[in-house]
Amino acid sequence: MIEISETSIDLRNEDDILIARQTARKEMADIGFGSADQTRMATAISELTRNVIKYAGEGVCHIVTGASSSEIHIKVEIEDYGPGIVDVDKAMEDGYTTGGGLGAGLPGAKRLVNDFQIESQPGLTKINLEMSRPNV
Amino acid sequence: MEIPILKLKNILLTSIQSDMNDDDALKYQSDVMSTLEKSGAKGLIIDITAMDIMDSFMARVINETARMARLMGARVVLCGMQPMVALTLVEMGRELIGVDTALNLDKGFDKLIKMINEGVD
Amino acid sequence: MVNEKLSSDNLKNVDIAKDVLDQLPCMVMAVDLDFNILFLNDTGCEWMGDDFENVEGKKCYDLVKSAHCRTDNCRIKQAMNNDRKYVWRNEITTGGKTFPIEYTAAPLKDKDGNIVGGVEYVIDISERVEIEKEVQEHSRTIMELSTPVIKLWDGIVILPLVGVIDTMRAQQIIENLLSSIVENEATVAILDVTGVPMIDTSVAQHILKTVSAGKMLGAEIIITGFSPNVAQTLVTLGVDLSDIITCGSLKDGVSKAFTLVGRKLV
Repeated sequence: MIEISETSIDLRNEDDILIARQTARKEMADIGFGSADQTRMATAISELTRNVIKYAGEGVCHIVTGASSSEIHIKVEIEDYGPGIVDVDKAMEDGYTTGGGLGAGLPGAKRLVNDFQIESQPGLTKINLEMSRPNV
Repeated sequence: MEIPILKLKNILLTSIQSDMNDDDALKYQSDVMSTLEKSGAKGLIIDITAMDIMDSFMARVINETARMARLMGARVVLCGMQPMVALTLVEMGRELIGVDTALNLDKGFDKLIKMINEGVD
Repeated sequence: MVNEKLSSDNLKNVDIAKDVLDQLPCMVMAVDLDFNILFLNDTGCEWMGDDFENVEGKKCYDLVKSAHCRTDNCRIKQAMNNDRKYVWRNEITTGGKTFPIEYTAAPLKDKDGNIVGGVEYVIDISERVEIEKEVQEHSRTIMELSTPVIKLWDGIVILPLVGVIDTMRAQQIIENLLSSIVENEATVAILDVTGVPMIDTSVAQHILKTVSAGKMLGAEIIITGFSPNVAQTLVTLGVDLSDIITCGSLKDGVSKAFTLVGRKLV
């Protein structure tokens, strides 16, 4: 897998949610992801970066794209230094709502991507999203 | 960020162009409700043609706005959802249930007027 | 085909049982219950790259070294334990070439019917795989040719599906259909699956997704053409299709579509 691009976006206010989404869209379009996949990933990023702004105040979003002869690939890592999600397992349960509170939207975002990893403790939360497609 | 609310005859039209934050959403909803009350409008069209992404927050804002308007006796139509947005909402498990929809503004108006005239719920 | 020139004299030089076995263009091997090699034919020796004298009595797993060796997945072990044959596909690399193979394992029994070991044969299926790839390409082409969405009437679009649908194809179909609903300003879409021989749970889920997404675009989706087989399978698998409009025949579906368009508020 050759790395094609790497971008980091500081998340400090709502405008950055838009920037993160648009950057992801652009990078994905550049290496050949279709518009449906771009929408999926951008929506997942929107979901998660919004959580960061709302509950952690600030964080960072890393976007890395890559390609091999058989696949195109995008990896997004969203990190924040906020209070963390108390019960990650519960937050990942479908149907769990805190009325839009911390962690809401996680199961939905997970469904949109191929791989979803989360670790969270007070002071550091990291969420990793990955999507791959065959390289046509 | 101010979202303009247009009035055409007895129908209110708002167009959501981009993302909102919590404060924007609250302001939008209270603007819509007070305009509905003051104008006596019978219908509300929420146009989302320009939204290329809808996450669960925006889906909730729209759902809530529609419900509030209905409680005030107005008929509501959501129009212009992009196909990929529809698909993504379904895949997330956040599809909008119970909101009348139309493909575009034209059809949205037709539908709304019919609903108002026929007194359909 | 009988070679007239051969006479029974020539055949005296042939040890039918052994030579036939040795000259089969597929690898044949037999092991005892402890996986010690009892027999390996010439083709087998060629593929494994060793002479029979060297391998006789050695463990087959030291020679073959496949991912299944020494695990519960070992087909020869299963054949010996369960007294039935097993067929499996894999690849081997020999003489610097890698090719796809099909492998059959069966129990080896003595004259009294006791299982005393296992016998296996391995055939080179390169040609078969080539043909399969071609067939897949052809069905892909057929799928591509048969998935354009057609505007049937004002407000009605129809998508007749033909052939085998895998997940990737199903994704594309949904996206096409939804875009087409918007382009054609359709309020009803008919998805005809008469030409689809089998619909598994994952394709059924895709259909359900399409219906939900279509609703948000203001369109009703009618599914037509479920065969009795498919209908039975889906219900048995527990797929909940109660929310979707289905019609047995395309004709009924078209009729329903016109009714809906007539009655709809738009």
